[in-house]
Amino acid sequence: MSRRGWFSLILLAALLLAALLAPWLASQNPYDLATLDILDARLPPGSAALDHGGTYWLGTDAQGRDMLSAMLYGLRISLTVGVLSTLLALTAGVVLGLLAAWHGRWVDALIMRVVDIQLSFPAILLALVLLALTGPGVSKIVLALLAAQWAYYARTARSAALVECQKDYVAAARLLRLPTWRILLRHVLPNCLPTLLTVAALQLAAAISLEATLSFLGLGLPVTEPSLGLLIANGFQYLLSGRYWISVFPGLLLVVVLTSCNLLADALRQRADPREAGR
Amino acid sequence: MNEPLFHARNISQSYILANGWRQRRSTLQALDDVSLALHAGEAVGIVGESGSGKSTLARIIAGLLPPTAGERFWQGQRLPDGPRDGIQMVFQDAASALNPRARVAELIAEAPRIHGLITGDESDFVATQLSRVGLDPQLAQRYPHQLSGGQRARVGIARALAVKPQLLVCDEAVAALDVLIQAQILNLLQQLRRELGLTLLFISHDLGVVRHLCERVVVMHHGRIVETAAAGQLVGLPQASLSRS
Amino acid sequence: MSVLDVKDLTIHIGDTKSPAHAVDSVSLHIERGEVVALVGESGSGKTLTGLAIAGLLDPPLRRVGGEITLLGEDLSALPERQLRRRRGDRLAMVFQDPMATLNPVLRIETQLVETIRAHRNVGRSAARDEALAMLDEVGITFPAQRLRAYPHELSGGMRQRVAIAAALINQPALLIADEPTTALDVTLQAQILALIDQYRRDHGTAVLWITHDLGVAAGFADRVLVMYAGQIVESGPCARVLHAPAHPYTAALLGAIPGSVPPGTPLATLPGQPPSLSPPPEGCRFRARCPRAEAACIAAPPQVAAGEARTVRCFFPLVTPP
Repeated sequence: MSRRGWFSLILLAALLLAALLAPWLASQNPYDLATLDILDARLPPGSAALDHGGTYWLGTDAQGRDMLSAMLYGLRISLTVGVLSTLLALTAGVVLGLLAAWHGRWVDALIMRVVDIQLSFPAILLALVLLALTGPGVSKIVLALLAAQWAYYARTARSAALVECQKDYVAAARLLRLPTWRILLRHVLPNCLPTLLTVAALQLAAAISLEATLSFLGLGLPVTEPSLGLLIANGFQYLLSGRYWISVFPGLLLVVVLTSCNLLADALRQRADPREAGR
Repeated sequence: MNEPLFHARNISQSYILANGWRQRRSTLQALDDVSLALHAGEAVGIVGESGSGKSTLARIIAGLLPPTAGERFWQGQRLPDGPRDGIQMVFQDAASALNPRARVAELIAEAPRIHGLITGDESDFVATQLSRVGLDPQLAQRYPHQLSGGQRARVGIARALAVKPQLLVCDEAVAALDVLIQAQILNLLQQLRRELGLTLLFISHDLGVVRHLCERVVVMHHGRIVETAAAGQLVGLPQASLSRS
Repeated sequence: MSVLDVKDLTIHIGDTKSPAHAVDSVSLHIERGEVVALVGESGSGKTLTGLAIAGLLDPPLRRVGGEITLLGEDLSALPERQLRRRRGDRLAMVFQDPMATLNPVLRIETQLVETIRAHRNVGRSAARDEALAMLDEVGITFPAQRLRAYPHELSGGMRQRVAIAAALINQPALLIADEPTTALDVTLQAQILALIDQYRRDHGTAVLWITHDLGVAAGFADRVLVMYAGQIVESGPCARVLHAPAHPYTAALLGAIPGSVPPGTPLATLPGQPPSLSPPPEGCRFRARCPRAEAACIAAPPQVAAGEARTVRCFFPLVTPP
């Protein structure tokens, strides 16, 4: 993989690690109201805490919450939602896409028309409607993202699988009378994976940013579990009064997350594309 | 004459080329009422230009493609659509015919394992199959891209033979190979045919190759069989007979 | 004066530390109106030789030595990029895949007219007339209609004819043809061969025909050069080389053609595979597979005369020099 690819992979791994280890890295639990001190509210970056010796390296928000701790926990939620919804949508899309490519005819027509209809809705509109019906919650936003994104994977999986199914190794597998599921999962799918993983890396960025958007609009996650999007929303009202850090730092972190996903997608695409392999 | 091992009767195949809105429905007749009988142990060649329908016929015989009309018989029994035990195929482009993400051992052992044809140790089975086609058993752990063109062709043959077919359909199996490697593969096919009593259907655009390997040659043109003869009798014919309409 | 004179062409592949010596000291010359067949297996270096002459080598391929003289002008001193421009209309190349030459999104007319106008100062309508005449000359029926077509609307054989028309339209002194008939049927192949044969008779074009098929060389070429593992191992007039090969490798190639033995009997083959060329083996490169190899073959055999106008790179040739 290219140097840029490794860089993005390491960056993403570091972010995942930071998110996983949030309870140990963060100086306070931002959800535990008992540890918050309202007198520490809206302190600029680098301020010392009033009652204990700690330093708020990235400042505090309106409730006196340490921004760094809140961001680590927010990252945790954003990544959980993003990765979970991506994995679910990838699985659902791949199953449907492979079925469409393999069976052709009416199965293909049915699945792909649903995909067409699905993709003609803006993803955010669909997610908004679903969340308006179900209410906020981590599992509900994961479902909403799944519903908004499976169609991309189905379409990609189908077109990649159609190409592979034309190749003679699939004909050979049919002649050897291997079970259909085995041909699809052991022969066709592994050869579609490079394309699918590229799309997955891109869609991971899209899922995280969609979740952030929904949370910013107040529809995604409950206030008790603030993701990066909700943190940005919380600081939004203070942005013009000079207290930039409450919105800007979570925003920057979101940009880093999305950029590393996109860089990774780019590196994966180059790896999968033989025309670019030599570059 | 005794019953043929395989019999294709009145096979026709047509494709719909255009059938859109306000378009005249037009079809392409790839095969037009083709019948072919293969007797056990026989080697039959099909020659023809590209577009003559010979590859389509190969795929229909193997059961990869359901014909528009016509029937297939196996030892007198009518065959349903789809592949059948006992018929295997060797493909032209060995690179595309081998799953690039599977090792040689898995390519060869997968189907026999699933069909319960392996008695004893699987790596011994793979080694036997590889030696039979003249490959070093050490190659079992390689991926297809780590093999030469000739080695890939041999793996393709080994995979087909590992499930003990009676009829082997070779679709331009040596067309992409250099002449020295082609000669090795032709010798191998001939030797395997003798050893295993295989029935061979050999599709090629190269009359010389077919004449070398087969006792009977079928000439196809525009989806029809235009000539069937013993290989020796075709010797005197000019190659232009391929383009006769 | 030869149309093309190549001396000691050497091509390496890959890094400078352990490159593959893909082409090693290849020398050849082609006279006006002559057809020379360059025959070899895949990996023998025949295609790279053609690409180097056409100035189409790109990294990791590097020409590390040799002189290429086209129509008396030594071009080897120039860097690759300038070479391409200088060779321009004196040399043209056709490939196995005609789509390597043709642009899929342009009409045939546009491609031919632009090829003419890139090299010569000709008006648009005059260029169109020339394109029409050229299509007619390469045997395309209804040339006026085909001019309006896109490449995908033509059959494979027709496409190759158009690619040949594009190559010949500026009347090059040398045509390099890299397996242009390999993907075609026997009948189409014969038609294309006849077409190029007729063209070089009419226009005196020199042809370098690169092929793996000795049968194609047999009926068509004046001289044949046989390559093995990056070297020319045998050269000479086509009929004599194919009738009585001097190099054991040429003999093996001929023996492997179906039809050389009675049907049903095994074809003659060689053990093993061509050697790796990074680095190339010491001594004779064919030694490991050669039925005539002896202790002396550990030294590299020089290219020696083997009869009139024939050379062979072997200590123990099958034909003894007169």
